[in-house]
Amino acid sequence: MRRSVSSTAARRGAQAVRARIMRQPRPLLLLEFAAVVGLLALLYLSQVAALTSTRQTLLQEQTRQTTLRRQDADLHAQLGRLQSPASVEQRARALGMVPADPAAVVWITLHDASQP
Amino acid sequence: MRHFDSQPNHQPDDDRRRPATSIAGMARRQALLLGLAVVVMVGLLARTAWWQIAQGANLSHRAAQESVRLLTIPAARGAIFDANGVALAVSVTRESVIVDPDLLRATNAMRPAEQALSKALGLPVAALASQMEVPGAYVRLAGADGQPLLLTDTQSATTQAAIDAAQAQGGVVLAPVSIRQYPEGALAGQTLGFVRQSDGAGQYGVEQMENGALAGSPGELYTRVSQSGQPLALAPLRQTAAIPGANVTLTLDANVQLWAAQGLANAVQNTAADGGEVIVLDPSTGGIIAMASTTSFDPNAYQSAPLSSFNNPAVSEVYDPGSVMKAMTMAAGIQAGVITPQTTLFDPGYVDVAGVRIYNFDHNGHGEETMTQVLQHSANVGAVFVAQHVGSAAFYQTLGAFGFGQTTSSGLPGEVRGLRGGGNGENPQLTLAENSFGESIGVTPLQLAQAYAALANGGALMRPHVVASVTADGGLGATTTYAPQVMRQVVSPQTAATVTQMLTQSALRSDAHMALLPGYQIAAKTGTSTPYPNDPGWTYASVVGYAPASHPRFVLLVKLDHPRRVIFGGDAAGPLWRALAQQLFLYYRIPPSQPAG
Repeated sequence: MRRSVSSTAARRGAQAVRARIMRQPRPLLLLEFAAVVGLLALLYLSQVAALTSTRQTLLQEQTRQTTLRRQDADLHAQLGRLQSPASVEQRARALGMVPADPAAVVWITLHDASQP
Repeated sequence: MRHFDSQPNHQPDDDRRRPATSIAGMARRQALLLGLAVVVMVGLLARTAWWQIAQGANLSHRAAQESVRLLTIPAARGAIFDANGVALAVSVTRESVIVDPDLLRATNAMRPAEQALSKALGLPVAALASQMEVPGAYVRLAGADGQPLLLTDTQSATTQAAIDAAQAQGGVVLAPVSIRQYPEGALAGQTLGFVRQSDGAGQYGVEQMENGALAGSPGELYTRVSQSGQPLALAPLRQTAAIPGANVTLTLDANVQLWAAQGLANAVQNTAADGGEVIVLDPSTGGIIAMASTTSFDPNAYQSAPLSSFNNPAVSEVYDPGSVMKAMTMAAGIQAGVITPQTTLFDPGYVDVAGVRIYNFDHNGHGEETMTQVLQHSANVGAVFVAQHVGSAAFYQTLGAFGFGQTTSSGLPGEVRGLRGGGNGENPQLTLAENSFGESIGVTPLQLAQAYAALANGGALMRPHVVASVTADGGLGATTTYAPQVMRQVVSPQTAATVTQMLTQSALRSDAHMALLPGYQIAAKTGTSTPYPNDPGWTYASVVGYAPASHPRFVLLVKLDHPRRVIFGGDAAGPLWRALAQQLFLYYRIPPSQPAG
């Protein structure tokens, strides 16, 4: 059976490569194999490290968010105490102010000069 | 003769045989050792395969049970604000202290821990020692009331360092606890309710009513944890974020609430009453601006408050309203077309109904009087006259339309329907007569305020509500505003306007003394009911009204229970009503009809 030139050449090329590999000393083969495995492992570990680092950052940000929410609540509570009408009245009285007597308030209506 | 070998270093036969034997022996020993090593390695491999492959799934499952946890991420509870944005309820996080007495003893760290915690908690060392120096590995430090002791908001640098050192050494753990704080204290306590510390559930008031929105949704973290229970960043398996609770904004105004509460306390003291309520409504929306009672409690200390104080009497207690009901009777008569403000009757001071003589409250006759004068004199005879002419069916249909005998739909927990006649009792004619002037009928203060608000609002009955809006995600999300809801048209706008005019004219000359507020048109009615016929001095004294009459800005109800120094509505509740009305005119910038200028 006739075989194509390209398949014969490819077969011969593969045989040459196999022969070349087989001619290499065994320790070198093992070293190459270990290097490839090591490279793959390094790649995997770097991905895992990046993922872990991101997760750690996420946890830290969530913790920071929780802390900020707690501070916000504390400030709202503090603001509530300061804004409390009873608290405002107490501070006003401490400054010497007294509640206005509604009956003593004089209402003044300003008339528009353009109106008759 | 000396023998010399012909071959140097020639070994004797024994010597020749020894190397070969030694080499072979060595080879055999090496082979034996190698064989043993192989056997051991194979055994180890087999063992490894057994644990990794055969038992792998089982061990993995057991490891997960020990190290994988489903942690709940608590959701922050939303805050409650008044109409002006003043915080009424806020959740803050404080640290409670958990100690491991066994570990502290083992590491000789008990004394330093007690001293550090003594400073942080503000307690003497002896008080802490009684809780910490016990056998066991878990003690949450608590106060005398059984509640967890909490670190104060801020610590000095020295104290904080001591706490950190105690934590680092082990045996002391700070656990966050959510605490609900009410900066206004007892102000509006019954309207707000409180949050139960044990499970964070809202109880009573707005806390219960809006618990679903306020609580938010807890999240979940399914992850491996370290030995100390901390989640490992290396391996979160599944996480659902917590959704913070929504913030709730009320229609309540803390300023008006304070004036109402302070005024009520003074009025109760001045009249030697048992108690009372004040309600302020916005008639155009039904928004509750203030709701005060003398039986309120401080939600910050709900554990020490009596159980009875949790119920809001404005919605959960009924009483005989007395003559304030005459406004509804007049509305029924005018709506039915059987009377006008100028319709007259002769009032001898009493009327006989079904064999029972009913008197005016003062036992005085007023001769020929108009319907407006019936209100001015608060004449029971005139009220009976109107109810009899309206007829039982139409009268009770009108009362029902005003909301009596059913809840107001405010949504406030514990609301009751009240009691009203309907013509099915043992003496329906007498019941009709008594109901016409507010006796033998049970209403809640909020029902009465809602009914007057309908008159102020052109006859349209609004649903009373205390929640104005809800903003999701702790105030950062979308806001849902609750639109005012018209429940029904009770009477026509013309009827409402007519009754308003009658109330305004009568209030000037009645014991409501509204003439004391010059320049303001006020539609109001006084009421004095006697729930115990054998004790006519025991009264419910009230004034209900709205102002300005032309465009009412507020409805105000003041009710005192069993005032002793003065027993009638106008004398007992009138002064507080006028004082609060004046305060509200100023607050809402409502000038009198005839200002200076």
